[in-house]
Amino acid sequence: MITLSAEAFDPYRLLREFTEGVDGVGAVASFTGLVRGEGDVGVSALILEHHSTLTRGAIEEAVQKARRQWDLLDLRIVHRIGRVEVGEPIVLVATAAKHRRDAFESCDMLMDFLKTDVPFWKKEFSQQGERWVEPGAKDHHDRSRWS
Amino acid sequence: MAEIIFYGKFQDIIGPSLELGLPEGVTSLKELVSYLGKLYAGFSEMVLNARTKIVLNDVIVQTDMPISDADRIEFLPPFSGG
Repeated sequence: MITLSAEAFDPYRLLREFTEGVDGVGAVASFTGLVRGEGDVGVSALILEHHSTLTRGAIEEAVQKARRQWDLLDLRIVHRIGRVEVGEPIVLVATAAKHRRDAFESCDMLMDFLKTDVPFWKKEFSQQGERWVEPGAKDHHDRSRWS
Repeated sequence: MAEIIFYGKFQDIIGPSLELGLPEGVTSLKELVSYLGKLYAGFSEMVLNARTKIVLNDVIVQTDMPISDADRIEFLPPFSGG
């Protein structure tokens, strides 16, 4: 299931519900991304923009790719849109499989795709003003592992 | 009038959208980018970034596509989720 949420969510509750809802599961991998305070910079919040149709479509494409590549029983993606405060979760990716490698690797791939291949735009607000954040070379290198 | 929509950092240069009667000589996306680049400093350079996407009537396209006043054109800067 894919959710774009304008409201804060509780990743721990969602992960428990997800895990309990998958029959025959042997492995669940998850990633939760949070808004970092960034120390000296004093980040206070992010605004996440998205595209009304292409964002969900791009996530669905990534999900199909993951399902083709790994033996998954189910998966759950929640991504915030709108204003997100420091410390709040931005994203949850959870993957369920019979075996750990399928769960680990699909979760890793889905996060890399969410970083670079899905229409989200992130504006950071801090004591130094505001700026649009773009993926770095490391993000693109990580993404390139999945071709 | 063509409807032109901007996302992310493009909004800081131009704003969220424009309704534009395409000027004479602007018949492709490439020509539109050049036209807007003359009006808004820095726009063309940002669009030339390989990771910028242009959407024409809901389909991601290359800049050599022809355009008309009936089109909906969207400029998407590099994505940054997660």
